[in-house]
Amino acid sequence: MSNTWDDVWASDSDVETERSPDLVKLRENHSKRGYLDGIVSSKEEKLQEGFNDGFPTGAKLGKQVGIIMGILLGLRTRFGDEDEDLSKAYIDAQKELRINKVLSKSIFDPNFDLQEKHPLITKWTDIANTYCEKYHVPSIQ
Amino acid sequence: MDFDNLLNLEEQYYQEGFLEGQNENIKQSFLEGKQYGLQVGFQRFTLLGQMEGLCDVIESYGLHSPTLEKNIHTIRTLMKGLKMNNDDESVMEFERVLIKLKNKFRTILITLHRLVKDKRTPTVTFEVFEDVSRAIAGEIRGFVENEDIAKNKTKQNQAQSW
Repeated sequence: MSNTWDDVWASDSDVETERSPDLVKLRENHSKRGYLDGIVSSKEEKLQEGFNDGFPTGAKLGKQVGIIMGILLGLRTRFGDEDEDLSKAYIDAQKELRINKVLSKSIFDPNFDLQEKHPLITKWTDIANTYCEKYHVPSIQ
Repeated sequence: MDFDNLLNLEEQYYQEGFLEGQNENIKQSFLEGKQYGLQVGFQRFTLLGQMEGLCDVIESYGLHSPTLEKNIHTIRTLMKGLKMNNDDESVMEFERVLIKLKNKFRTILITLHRLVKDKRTPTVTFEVFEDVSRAIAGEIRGFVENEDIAKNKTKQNQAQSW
């Protein structure tokens, strides 16, 4: 029998197995293919899982931002001509509440979770509420 | 017997590599997907929030129009029914209801414009309204607005986007 087969039967230890050039090559080839398949399979699955995990939070934040913008738009349209501060607030809100600002990585923890209230949304909810009070609109909760 | 053992070794090595590959990317892929989910969720619900906010303001105008009040009530009722998640059922429901909401909201803005007696008082057009949403949230990729939802299912599927 060849030296290769002697090694196979001689011992089950990895050390023994690794000594055979043929088996080393076999391992490299199959491990590599398995590795690549593993990466691909986990990527698709985990991307979708992560997506489903992030979506509800994004939806909630988007709605909150939308409410603020809807109120400021309605008030500015009606009263903006005589209320300069309101007009300016509307313009500033559009800049500060853009998606790339609201979803900035610096606001989230490494797992993309919010640990506290969202600072920009909190700020602009308060500002919008001052105008709600001024113009007798129900305040944002 | 020899071949059986050899094939077993091949499978063993493949599985070892497979698991290693899986583990390597599990966390990273999950977080990439999560980031994208945040963005799409945000985009989908911004316009709805705007509708809600603007309805609150319009209601405060005190125009005393039964038509307006009825339509605003309908908008609120439709919104209450929407869930904020990404399963197939919720996505299809969202697409269906969004069309109704847009049509109803257009009606509200047109009614509002008609009711405001002082024609020098500006009112919001639906186009301006949508422009604000775009400025905030950007265009939603792949959104198809028509009644034939069954043929244009747009469930946000991560695999399709990469």
